Amino acid sequence: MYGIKMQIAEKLAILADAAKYDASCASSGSKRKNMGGMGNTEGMGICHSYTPDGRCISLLKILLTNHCLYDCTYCVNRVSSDVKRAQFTVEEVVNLTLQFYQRNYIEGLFLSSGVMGSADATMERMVSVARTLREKHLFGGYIHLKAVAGASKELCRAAGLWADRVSANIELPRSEDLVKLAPAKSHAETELTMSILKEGIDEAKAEAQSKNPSKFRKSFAPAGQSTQLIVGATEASDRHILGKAVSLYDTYRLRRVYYTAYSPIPHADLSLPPERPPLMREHRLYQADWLVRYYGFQVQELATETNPNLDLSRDPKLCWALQNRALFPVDINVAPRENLLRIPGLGVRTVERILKARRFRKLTMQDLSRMGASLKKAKYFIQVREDNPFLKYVDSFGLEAQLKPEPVQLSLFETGLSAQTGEV
Amino acid sequence: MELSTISKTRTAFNDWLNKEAALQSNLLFESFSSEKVIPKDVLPRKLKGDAYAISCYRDETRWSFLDRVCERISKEGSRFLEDPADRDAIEWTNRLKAIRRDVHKAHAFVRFKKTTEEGKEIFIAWHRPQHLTTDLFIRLFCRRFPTMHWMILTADECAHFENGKVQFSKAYEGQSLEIEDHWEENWRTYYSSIYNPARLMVQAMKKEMPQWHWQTMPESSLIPNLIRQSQNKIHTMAQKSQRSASPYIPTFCQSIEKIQESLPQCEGCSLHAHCRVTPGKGNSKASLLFVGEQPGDEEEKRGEPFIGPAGQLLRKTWEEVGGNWNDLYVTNALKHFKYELRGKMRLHKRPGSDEVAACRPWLQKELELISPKVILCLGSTAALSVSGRLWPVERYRGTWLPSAGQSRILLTYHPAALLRAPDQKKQEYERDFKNDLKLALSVA
Repeated sequence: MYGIKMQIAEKLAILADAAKYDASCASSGSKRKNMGGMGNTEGMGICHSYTPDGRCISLLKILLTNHCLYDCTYCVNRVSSDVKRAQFTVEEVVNLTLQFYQRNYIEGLFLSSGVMGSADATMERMVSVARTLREKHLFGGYIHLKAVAGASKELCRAAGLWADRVSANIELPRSEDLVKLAPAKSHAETELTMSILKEGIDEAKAEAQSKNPSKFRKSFAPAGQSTQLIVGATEASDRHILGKAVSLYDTYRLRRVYYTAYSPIPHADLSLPPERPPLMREHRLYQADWLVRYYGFQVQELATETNPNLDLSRDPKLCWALQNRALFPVDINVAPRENLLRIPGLGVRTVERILKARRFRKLTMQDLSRMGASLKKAKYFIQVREDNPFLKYVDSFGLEAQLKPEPVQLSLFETGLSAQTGEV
Repeated sequence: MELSTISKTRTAFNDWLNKEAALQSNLLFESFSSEKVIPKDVLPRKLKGDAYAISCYRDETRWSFLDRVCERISKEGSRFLEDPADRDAIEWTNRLKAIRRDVHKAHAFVRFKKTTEEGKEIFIAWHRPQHLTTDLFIRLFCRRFPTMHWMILTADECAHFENGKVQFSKAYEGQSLEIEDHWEENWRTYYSSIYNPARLMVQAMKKEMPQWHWQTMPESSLIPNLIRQSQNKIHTMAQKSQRSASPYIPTFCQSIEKIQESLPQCEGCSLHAHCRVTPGKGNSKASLLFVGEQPGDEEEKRGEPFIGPAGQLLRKTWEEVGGNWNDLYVTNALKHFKYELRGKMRLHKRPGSDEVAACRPWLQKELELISPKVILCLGSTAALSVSGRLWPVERYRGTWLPSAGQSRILLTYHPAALLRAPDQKKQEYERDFKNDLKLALSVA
């Protein structure tokens, strides 16, 4: 700036710093064979490094530029913020990606950008990074492109052709919050982008599954689309947040919704909360999200009308079980899969193991513990081969006391892992 | 350097397989003892890959464990391995899991250094796997980097890859790898920029990235410092947001004069160290109050708001619409001048929201004491301080902002914006500005 050309390292520092508020870093769900150049993608993501905040580095996550036209209050790059600005050229991003990739630092590139010039001009530069990597360098690594709000249909379609994943951020769970905090954005616009992407993904899938798929068919965002929701910047309850997430999963077949706790940013709007919401809230949302998608729960069961926010001290499944004790105990040796999934302390994998193992024998507590069940919670809710002395608590007032809430402070440190895998 | 096309672990496994075959032939086919029987009926084909993986487990019992499993398979078939509650099955799965994890971590943590050897580009990595997994984890790199010439050194054996072929040589005994690669510095820059100091979860990091591997990773040297700095960063961020002028406002502050008296002592933010304070000025019973952003160069020198070029423009326009400057009270969101030195020039610098927040109590006190009918916010910083929210000026100018108190709040351009407006927009801005002033005057 000011006539002095910025070094790559300096740009990298600014534009990586500006990108760190996006939670997504997944590199899984896409398969790409080596195309004669460098790199491939094998379906399973690889986390190449971990930072002291417990999050993984899988992709080179940077902004093309942090100059931005918009003034979204919660965003550190909004036009009214006085952060240092920088801008990469297309070639610089391409070179950085290749240099990092061939040293095995990363799985690929996650490119986002502030809006500079216009939405379309920005999107075009991002697409051209992906195209250069794929066409000129035959790059087979993972590419995640952020769809710029308001970019044209053609450019969104072009992004899907080169990228493994394209995502449009919904940002805030309620559209009225967006009006207040991000006047330039709207749910309608973001959801329009999502529907364009869904159309492309569906077409590519139909083509691949058709009787004689073309040999030269083009893939379209094979790792699907995802989005991000900011938690705790507004008053929206967990019920709102989960409700929005589920409707997005249903309507646009999203692969993931990322929940990210609002991080107080330097130079923030005075209407934003000065402190971050407890990290535990983010963790509980991931747990509830997982329960809805893989355990057959409904949002209304977990975040009720009277308690629209998830309990921070207990996991959502345990809370639900305590409220619905009439459904317990469940007999481990005969109950169907969907009932086993509702037992606190049993994950999907443990349930699969139970279903398999009980073909061989009647299961005991010890068997369960060997198979990875968390008996600390499960023992109050299950019938096993032997007598289970803990069952007497199910109908007593003493159960809540037995299942003492975990001390919230301590478990803050454990949330990192869950946030990545989302597993309960 | 002696190179072999087959890895050490594979050779050992083949030896074991053949031994097993010999054993089997002795037990079952005594009359054919000279013939080698491939034990495919003992170890089902689909388990052979797993058995090889388990033979890479770095543990003395690895062969005896495999022997035991084979013995059970020959007696009862291989179905017991599918029983998740069987002890041997659990051991089998656990060992397999450990190997898979080790392979996965190698895929993640191998770090190539680029260098040249005899004029050719070569990528060399030193890795410390926990198990004997070299032969297993290099396969991904063969698929991923088929056109590169690379080497991975481990304390068990080394893999060389060139022209699509992999070969093995004996163990690397070094305790470090002295190769300079300047891209490592960029990687470290990225690593320290991408992490969020507001959330520190060292346990989670160590669990996924065991310290065992740190020795071979260029970024790990940064970790202790980042953790230490992170405590400081959070601290300064919290301190910044706690800064406020409140403690400097006298308890009984019932007049504008009292404010003007107390302002010079204010140390609510760091700006006081660089310039003098410029208090608000005007009619303390005014029904119309103007709020600007902050004093400029000239204002600061003379201690009076709105006397610089922008102020003069405001006065001129105000008189044109029929207003009287002396009826007004004029002040700023910030009472200090924030600037950047460019040579001898003091260039205006936009205040951060922490500074606006820190200075806000003064403005709120002024608004409370004067209680005007109309507050005219000149620019977004003024509106931020008056209403607590950011209002994009382009969109909301000329509109009444929601107000919590008695006064009505109107937003318009800051006169400096008119001075800086591009020529084609100038007329439009001036017209709007004039209209807004007219509106404020008529309501007040």
